Amino acid sequence: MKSHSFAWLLLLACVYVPPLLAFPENVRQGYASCQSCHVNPTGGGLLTEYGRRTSEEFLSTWQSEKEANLFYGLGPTLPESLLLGGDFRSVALQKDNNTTITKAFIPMQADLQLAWQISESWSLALTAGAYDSTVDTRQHYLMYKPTENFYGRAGRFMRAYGINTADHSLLVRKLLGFNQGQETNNLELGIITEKAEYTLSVTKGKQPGSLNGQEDGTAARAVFFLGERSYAGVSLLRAQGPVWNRDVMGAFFVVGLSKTLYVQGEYDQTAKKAADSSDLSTPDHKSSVSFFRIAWEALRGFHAFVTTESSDPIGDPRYSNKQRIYGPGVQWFPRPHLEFVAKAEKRLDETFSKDYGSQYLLMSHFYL
Amino acid sequence: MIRSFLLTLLLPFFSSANGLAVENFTIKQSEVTFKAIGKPGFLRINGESAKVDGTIVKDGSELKGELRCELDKFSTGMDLRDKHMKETYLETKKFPLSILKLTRFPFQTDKTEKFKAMLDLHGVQHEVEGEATVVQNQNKLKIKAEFTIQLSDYAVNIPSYAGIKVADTVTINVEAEAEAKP
Repeated sequence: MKSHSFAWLLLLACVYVPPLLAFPENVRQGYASCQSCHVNPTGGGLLTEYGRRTSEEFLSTWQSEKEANLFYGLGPTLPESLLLGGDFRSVALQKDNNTTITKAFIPMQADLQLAWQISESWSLALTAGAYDSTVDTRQHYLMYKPTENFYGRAGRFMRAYGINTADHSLLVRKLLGFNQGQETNNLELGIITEKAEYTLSVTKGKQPGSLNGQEDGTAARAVFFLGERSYAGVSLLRAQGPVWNRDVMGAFFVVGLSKTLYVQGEYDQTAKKAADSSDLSTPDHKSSVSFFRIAWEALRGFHAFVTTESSDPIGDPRYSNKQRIYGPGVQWFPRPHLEFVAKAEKRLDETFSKDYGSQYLLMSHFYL
Repeated sequence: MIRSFLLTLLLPFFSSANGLAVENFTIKQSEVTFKAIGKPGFLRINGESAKVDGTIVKDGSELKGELRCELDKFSTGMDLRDKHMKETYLETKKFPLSILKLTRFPFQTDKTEKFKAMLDLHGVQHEVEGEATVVQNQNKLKIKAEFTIQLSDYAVNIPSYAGIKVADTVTINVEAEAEAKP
């Protein structure tokens, strides 16, 4: 029993990883691109000065003037060329797989983030933190941005693929290798216009850790801004790993039905081929993964949502497992710097069981 | 008495240069919105909640009149942004109204036509050009008009806040429903 619980804990720790804090649903407020609020052009992590103001002005339920400032405005004033932030997250979980109930508290993330505007066009970004008792930098890159419409960057960061949603525990993120902790070494070019955003990322360099992290490859994403409150896009990834070569393609959308009601979804298909064609133990196979969420901002900063997720083998079921997740949740930003997410989910993973289990989760997040 | 009666009957035929009737309409419902772009990130800033009032004169195949808009009514969904917009940039205490005076507004029901107007904003008058569709249904006029302005033409400083700078070009949409005066 003890080893069973330990295995669940390990699984939970792997499955629920910290979100990157990108909120694509803000497109319904006119924030089509991530760049207004985040240093990272594809979203998440360190906030720009304007990003801090938006957390004060429309993201949180209550606020006071300058509350969203670094250290609540109590610290020293930094030079304009320097931005500093930090993410601290933990999650409390209870998981019931019909035979065992597992409870866990996982301190997920303690990151410090820094960006330095070296000159008008050049900047340097760094995210460092303690992960599993080691200190590492999950993101570090040098960015060249000569105009508002173009950027190029090189370093370690998450490639642009699909919706860069804050909820990185979604199947469309973790099964496709875009979970936090799966950042890769990339060279990326981005073009941003009023109507669309195009990103091309070339991954080179072996990344220790997951199999996906050891891949070389190319990812491309195109996002089209639709009207005032929505966008839709397509993504492609071709990657060569030590065990598998994979081609992934998918489509995604975020649609603001009104200023308070929005839906988002993504569908991807993966085709995997053995890297070593003579290896008969790893035959070619295909799978699909999808996610859909409908959410309502019932009052400012308080969102209620229902999510469904699925993962299925296409064809031969032996090499990818069927998964289903569905359930309601709430996300609340009571004040700037603070976020809470609570979810109650029914979960099926046929790798472990043919029956649905349940999971209850409370995530707490403090942004410096 | 008979002379007055005859004059009343004949007056409409002489009231317009082209011989068509002049009708006066009063705006009953309206909505004015603007769209500005903030950079970097192509942030969409939508101003809403404002209205226009005024009288429109249909003179044959042309509309004339003045539409007044109370600038303090605009809201962009962010209180601080609204405060800056009104106090620092539009200076609405000093210039509370914006007036659009139609100078060349051809009218053909349900057809999109180009128009010219003089826009008074921030104490500066400048000609604008745009496109409008007008539909007349008995005693009602429905007007949809869109035009762009350059903030710099109206001596409005380019709004800038926390690293976001608003583009000089702003698109304005006006939708109004007017009823013929009895």
